[in-house]
Amino acid sequence: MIKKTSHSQSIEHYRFGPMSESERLKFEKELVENPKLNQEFQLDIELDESLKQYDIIDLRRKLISAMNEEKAHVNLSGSKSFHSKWYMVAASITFLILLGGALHLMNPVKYTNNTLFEMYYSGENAHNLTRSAGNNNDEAMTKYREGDFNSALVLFNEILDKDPSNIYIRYYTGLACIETNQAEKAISEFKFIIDQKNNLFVENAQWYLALTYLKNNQVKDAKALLMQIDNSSNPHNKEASQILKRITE
Amino acid sequence: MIRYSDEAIVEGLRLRKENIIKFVYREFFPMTRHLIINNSGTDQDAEDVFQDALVVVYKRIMVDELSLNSSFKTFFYSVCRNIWLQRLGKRKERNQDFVDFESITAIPDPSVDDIQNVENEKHKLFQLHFLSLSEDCQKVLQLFLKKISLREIANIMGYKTEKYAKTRKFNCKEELKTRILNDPNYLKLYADD
Repeated sequence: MIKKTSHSQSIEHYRFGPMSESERLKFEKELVENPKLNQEFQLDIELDESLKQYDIIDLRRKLISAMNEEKAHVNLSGSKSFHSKWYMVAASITFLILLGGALHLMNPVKYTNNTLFEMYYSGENAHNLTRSAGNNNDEAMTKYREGDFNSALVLFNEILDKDPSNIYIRYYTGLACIETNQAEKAISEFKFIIDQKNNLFVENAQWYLALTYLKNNQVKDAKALLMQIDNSSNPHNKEASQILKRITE
Repeated sequence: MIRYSDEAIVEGLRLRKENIIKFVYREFFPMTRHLIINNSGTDQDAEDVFQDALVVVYKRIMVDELSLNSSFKTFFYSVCRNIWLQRLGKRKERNQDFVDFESITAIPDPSVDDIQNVENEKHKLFQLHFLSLSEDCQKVLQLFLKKISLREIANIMGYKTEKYAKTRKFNCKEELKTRILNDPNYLKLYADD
């Protein structure tokens, strides 16, 4: 028999409202007395904590995708043993997907630049840096990680005064500028990284630069860069292609 | 296939770059599989251990605790090996004749404590069920957790009303919780807690 939750509504109201004071007291009393409610409540909280590990989830997602891709590749290599009817099924499904895609493309939904930015922007989790340019790296990154982007920017600037070519710090400066609505400065940081070439941040810098252009309503620049990303092996090429279909002139 | 230096692998993992993750999987999964299969495990065990090992290594990189005294390959192999030994220990299946991958000498004890506790097992279970939800559900739940307002969520997701965004978020979470509650591993974890 399938197990179902039975207290979700009350847990939702207790945690996120609306709930009156008397209802809250009643809920809290029941929380102590009812083990099943307590278990469901704990699950709800633990679940949220777990889902906030955005970077780990992203890592798992990419690994699963790599695993599936590799398996598909292996299956394709050994596909001679497949029965032909499965080809027919696969072909039919592919046809339906393509048909659906074609219909969708005939009438694509358009979004505002800011909405597209919100849809595709996800701030990166910060980390301690190994290549230290100054002693306050850790403090700066801690501020970034805590979401205190203004303080992080002050410290980033101090580091960059001493070591202007520090790509790591420039990258996170760009991201912190996005978070604090300083589009022009973000653009300048990402451009700097791209101009340096041959560093691991180039592809991500291109992606965030395109998103910043969007946010800043520089549609022409955004489109040109997104097309470049779309036609490259940049890991964000699929997302770039999606944005290009949805972008408003 | 493009080959990457150990330093590029570490930096690529730090940034969770898809090409590096793919490279690590293609390059190091065969040896992990060989290790597990030759020591009482299955293909599923091998995938499981590989994923856990990658998370251990990633976390280590993020807290700056990864100092490679050997090659990345040897380090990664040792993490996989230790995870699998612990798991065999739990299953009480540890074989006296543990067979190592012939070309690699494991380095002494890179600690895997951080992956082998109930809390992390729960996170893993929750996150894998989360990743099995529709993309739409995943996005709604994450936007909500990032404290984006329901109005903005409705706008971003193309929903007509805030009320629908709230209902959608509630239903997605319900679906997720139902999947978790019906996973036998969840009950087992709860019993271990």
